[in-house]
Amino acid sequence: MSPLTCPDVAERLDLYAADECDPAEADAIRRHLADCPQCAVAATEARQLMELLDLRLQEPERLRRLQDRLAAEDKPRRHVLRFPTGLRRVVALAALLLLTVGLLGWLTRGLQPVDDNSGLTVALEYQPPPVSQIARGVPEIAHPTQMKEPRGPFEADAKEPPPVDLSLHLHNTSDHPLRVWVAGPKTDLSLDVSGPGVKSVPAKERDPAEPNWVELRPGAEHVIHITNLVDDHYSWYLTKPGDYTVSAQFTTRAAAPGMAERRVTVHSESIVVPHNVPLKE
Amino acid sequence: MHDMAPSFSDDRPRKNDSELVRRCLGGERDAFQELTVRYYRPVGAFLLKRVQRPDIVEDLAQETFLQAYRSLKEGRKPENFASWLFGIAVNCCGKWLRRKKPALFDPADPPELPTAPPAGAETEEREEQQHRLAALEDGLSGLPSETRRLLEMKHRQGKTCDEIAAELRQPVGTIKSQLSRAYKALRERLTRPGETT
Repeated sequence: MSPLTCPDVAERLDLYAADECDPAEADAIRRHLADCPQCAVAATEARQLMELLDLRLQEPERLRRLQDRLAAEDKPRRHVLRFPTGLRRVVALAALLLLTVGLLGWLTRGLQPVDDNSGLTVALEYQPPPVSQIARGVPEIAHPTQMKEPRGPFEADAKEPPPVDLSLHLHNTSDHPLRVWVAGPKTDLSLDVSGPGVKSVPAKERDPAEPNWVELRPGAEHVIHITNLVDDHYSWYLTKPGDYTVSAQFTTRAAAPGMAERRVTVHSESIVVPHNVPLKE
Repeated sequence: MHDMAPSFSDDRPRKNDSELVRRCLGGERDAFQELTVRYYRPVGAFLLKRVQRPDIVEDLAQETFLQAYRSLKEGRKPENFASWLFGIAVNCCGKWLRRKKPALFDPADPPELPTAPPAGAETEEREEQQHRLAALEDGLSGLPSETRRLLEMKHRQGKTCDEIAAELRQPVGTIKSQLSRAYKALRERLTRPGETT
């Protein structure tokens, strides 16, 4: 495409900012903007308009998602940490957490975006470790949970969260590819653990994970391994033998080809993770 | 536009913030929801201006309101809810900006990283974005209903012009022309100072 003049660019600028120019045209505009400060200012204004329009017109859905999170906030956490003095508890939990995430519904072309739960299917399974591995004493899967009693004051900032062997399975059940963020600031993992001796403390701030996305073909899945019993908000500790209930909420952003990225929040059903190992000193 | 979010210019009777905060402190989540409806848009626009990353504005807005909600539930009573809320938004932005890793770009071609403005600048930013939102609202209300429908399909539903054209059974060029005219009118509204109602 031949070089564009300022009036040419001005005429196309809004559609360019709206990502509606063909590649050759977009490239010609980009080249012009690189050398023309005046048009670059107008391009910034056009981009800001698109951003404000997104903010304004997507407000109903965004508000609904906020209300959902506020409602979740009111669900009482089952246990509040008041740790006695003692050594840090060492927790080894082996569990398999399967989240099958059906990203259907609003990601299908032609459908309106709807709130998070529509069109999503979630399945959660727990698989105990094989007996042979228990016999060999593989640390991470020797038993669903093992722990020691703490002896000193619990200092959240000085303790590593307990090791855990969980996996989050993201499954594309739609009929087209999906680009899904699996790490970084666009994702958020929230666990909910309850049972006879569960304790939670606010998670200490960690270095954010590098942003990463995957493209899932129809029917494909991506597994996220969780190596510590900690989500993006809390560290979780199991302090007594018994059955523990675990569920997960994973928020991410996903896009189908030709569609804008959408926020997706999926909830797993609760699974029961037995913990029958006596506490070890 | 029948299913747009409530406008700030609507004339329904509004309870003042203090009354809603008082009810929040009494444990009424509905009162806080009313505050979220009232402040979501200005907070979102403020965050957008601050971080210049539309893809994370929703997360930061959620974090802002969640922190406010938790504080109110714990009995914190702000003197001025709006200032307090925007203060939380500023903190959320600061936290995000600090966590950003600057090593993800080519050192020879660094992007323009947003930086936290000096303290006190938020009032000015808030007012500027409020003005822009009001201008946008005026502009939207002055558009023909067919054009607003196109904007909804494009910006709310995330459809491309090709998809809109196919759905409405119109030539894609027609859709692009209509949108282009609407964008031009709206952009003129936003860049023309002092003409909002």
